[in-house]
Amino acid sequence: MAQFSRDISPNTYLTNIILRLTKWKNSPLKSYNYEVDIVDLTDDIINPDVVLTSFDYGHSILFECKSKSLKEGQLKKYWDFIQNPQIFLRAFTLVDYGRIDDYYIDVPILTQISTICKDSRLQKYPLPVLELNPSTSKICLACNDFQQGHMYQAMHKMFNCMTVPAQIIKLHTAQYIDPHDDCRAFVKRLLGEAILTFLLSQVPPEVETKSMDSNEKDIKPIELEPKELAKIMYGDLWDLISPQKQKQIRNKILRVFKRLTHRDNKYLTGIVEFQKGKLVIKADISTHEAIRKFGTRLEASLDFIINGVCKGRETTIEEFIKR
Amino acid sequence: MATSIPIVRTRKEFWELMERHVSKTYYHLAEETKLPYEHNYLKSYLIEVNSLDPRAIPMYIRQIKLRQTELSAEVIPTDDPRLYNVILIAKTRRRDKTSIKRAVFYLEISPQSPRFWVFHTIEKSQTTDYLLKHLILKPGSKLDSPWFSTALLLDFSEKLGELRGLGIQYKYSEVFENWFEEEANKDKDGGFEELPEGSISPEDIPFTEGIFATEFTMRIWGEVSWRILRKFIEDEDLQKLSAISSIGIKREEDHEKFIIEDITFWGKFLSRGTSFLEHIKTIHEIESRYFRVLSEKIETELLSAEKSNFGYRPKGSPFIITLKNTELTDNPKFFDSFVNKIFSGKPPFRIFGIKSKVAKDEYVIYGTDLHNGDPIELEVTPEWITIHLRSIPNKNVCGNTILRFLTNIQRYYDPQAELESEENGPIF
Repeated sequence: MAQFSRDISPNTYLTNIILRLTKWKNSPLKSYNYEVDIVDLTDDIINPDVVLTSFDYGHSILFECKSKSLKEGQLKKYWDFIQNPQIFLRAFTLVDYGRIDDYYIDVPILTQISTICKDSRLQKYPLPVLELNPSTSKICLACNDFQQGHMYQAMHKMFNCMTVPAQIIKLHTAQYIDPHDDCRAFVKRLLGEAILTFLLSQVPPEVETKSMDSNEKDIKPIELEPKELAKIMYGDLWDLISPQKQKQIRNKILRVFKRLTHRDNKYLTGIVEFQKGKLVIKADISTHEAIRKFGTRLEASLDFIINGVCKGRETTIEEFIKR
Repeated sequence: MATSIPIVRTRKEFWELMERHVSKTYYHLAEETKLPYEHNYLKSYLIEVNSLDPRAIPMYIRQIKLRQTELSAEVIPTDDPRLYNVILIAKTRRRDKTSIKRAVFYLEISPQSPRFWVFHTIEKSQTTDYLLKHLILKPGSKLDSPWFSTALLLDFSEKLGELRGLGIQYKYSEVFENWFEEEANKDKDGGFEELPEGSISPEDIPFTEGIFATEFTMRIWGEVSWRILRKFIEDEDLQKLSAISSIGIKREEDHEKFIIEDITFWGKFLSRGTSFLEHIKTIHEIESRYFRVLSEKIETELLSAEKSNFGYRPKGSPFIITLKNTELTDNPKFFDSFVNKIFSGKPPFRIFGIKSKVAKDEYVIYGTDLHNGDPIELEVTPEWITIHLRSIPNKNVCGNTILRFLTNIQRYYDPQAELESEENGPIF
């Protein structure tokens, strides 16, 4: 049986399930006007992965997505938040909120690990666990309970068992991809999107046909800088990413450049060079056919690049579902 | 060959020329049932533009390099800064023979939005289609056609006039031709009985095993068009072929002032009648309706982000194309070929992508739209396609990409394919 790998990490997958579910036109979360308030861009373990807030109902849901083991310090921190929701509100939510008196939060753990409820730390800090089961397309409350409050019944109504539509449960991509955790998606986005988009933005290409009957061309090299490509890969997000993370991204792009120009990468020999932190491309991109051919060479190099820059074995879909 | 088509100096001259031409066209058709030699229909091409000054066209077109053809242009302004004469020339050399195609266009910048241009011409379609195609289809071009899906054309036919014509072109075999050959050859290798001598050659019979229809073309003009259209909308099998490629409408101010338009799915208007004004009104209404779809329903949904405390707040949502054609579900072996063909970067889709097979029935495509150089990510399954289009700072990411993709999917694979925003529902 063929083994397929996700291009994004289990944590990115779970985070994006929530993001997409919240916005989905038939989402039960929409009935209570929940909006995505914050998606975590830090590596800080005390920050929940996603915060949904309903300003109308005075309630936030802080999702902690778990694809590996629980961390006691993290559970304790969330438990403290629950006891003092105003701290969270004042510290994190941006909108000037008027109903502070009855505002409160829930901190569910979203996971695909079916055994997580057996973890004894969840008795000490009884945060509700929402289990995602991709084979049944459902997210169900697996153990513990939501906070007693004015949204208690609504939370049960939404999460006792929520059906997730097919295009969301099968998602394989994300707006933010991490250069390390989502390495395969990162490399594919860089090669399939950023490099070609950048080349097309250089139109008119500095290519001169020597004569109408000649195929011979003088090609002016095009230089690609990591930062320019990163801006294409991340769009508006680029300016919101911390300088430290931006540096990680640029470094990962440099590693891909080096691998692309490696002498063993036979698909791009003589066409690309690595010079002073830049990728120099000496290819004809004056026609659709020429760009397509260059793209095909990048695609052919893909396994060689991924093997070089994405360390560690990928999680197969089967392993992912079994967890 | 020199052309006798006049160059206009003022908007008044342009308007009089056009009025005279459409009336003459209608008169010839009504009285003589055909057009005289070298009298052509008025054609107008609606073009979507991404910040280009018309005066830059000559420089721009000279940069388009074709193997055997040299393109050039001349732009002659008029007294109106929104109206230009544009002469496009293509010089093609094959062996020792040189042929020249030349046409005069009157370029109007839309009064509603500089994002749209209209190229009017009274020259031959064969020449004008050819010349404009090269201007628009340059890699990374700043120009694109509008893309009218079946739903949009039906909307125009209901709202803008009386339906007087209908064109349907389902061109499945054009994109998936080799796929049939591959499948047919597989059957041959498998020891199927060969046709006896004298029978129809296998090349004459398209491979149709497991395929609902390979091609369907229909063209009708007349008052019966609406009744025929209704049959196509109501019949379950005909719906599967109803990739509407053009509509004909009659629009009139009164019995004296009217225009009959043939509007194609890529924004070409072919006109005859008695009123150029009605023609212009039709184009502007269609442009407004198209612009509203682009600016209010698509480009507001591009994926973007704003700052929010320790992270970001996502904006926008993906688009979903729901496929009704069950062929890829019924014949899973076709699925890989389907993905490889569509995302090869070749026409008509012109999306090149790194194809990542993430499940037996799902691919993620990390791609670039070669028309306009926008990055695009898609999740593709036999039942639906999710499209993610990111907003990029200092780059006009264009919603036209989504409408072009949908229109081509309808035309080449599934006329019933529907587009919606995951967040806000149906686009049409």
